[in-house]
Amino acid sequence: MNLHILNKTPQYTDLLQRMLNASSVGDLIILIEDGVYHGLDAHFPRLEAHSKELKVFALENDIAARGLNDKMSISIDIVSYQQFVQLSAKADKTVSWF
Amino acid sequence: MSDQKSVLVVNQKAPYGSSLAREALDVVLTCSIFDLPVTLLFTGDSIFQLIKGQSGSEVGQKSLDSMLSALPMYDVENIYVTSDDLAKHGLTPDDLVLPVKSIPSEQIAGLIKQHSTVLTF
Repeated sequence: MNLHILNKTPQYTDLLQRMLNASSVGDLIILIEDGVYHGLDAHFPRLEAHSKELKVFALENDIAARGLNDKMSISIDIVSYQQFVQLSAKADKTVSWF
Repeated sequence: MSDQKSVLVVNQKAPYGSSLAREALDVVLTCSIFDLPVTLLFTGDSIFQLIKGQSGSEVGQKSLDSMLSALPMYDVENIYVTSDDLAKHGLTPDDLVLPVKSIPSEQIAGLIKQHSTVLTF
């Protein structure tokens, strides 16, 4: 199980596509920094458009900083930095997409 | 073309991920202090800069929305967003920290014609 880290906005469509193509069934995705904007209801469908059972997480500090606390899709698990560390530790590999 | 100088600042980037939002704001405030007419356009990801309820301290920065909300105090009131981008992000003017004029992206060229200098961030 790999953890994919995405830190760019939905504007970067090729990057999102490359990350989804590179994922395997059961991988995890965490949205950090500007990547949290993928969690907006208007953008999340594009991130969900795969059939690989990818669970999506997002970092709470980056969400709060950007004023998105009440705007994130309910399908996303919002996590603390500590939980981010635990996810990275549990994963076989972490793959960063920037 | 008249000799009156005016600046159009075009924002394109989301806040906090880069320093561009702050740098653009510094330029806008500088224009205002020197009585140089300045217009601000938020297009693409930069519309995220206007979302209210930010808390920059969560990432060790100042909250950009509170800084932007001070613009009218500097007589900067020509603030535009592109309506198609606002819709693309699923946002409405109620989500924003400032009153803005909403224009379709097709009108950006016209806005550029109205200013003597364009700075993009």
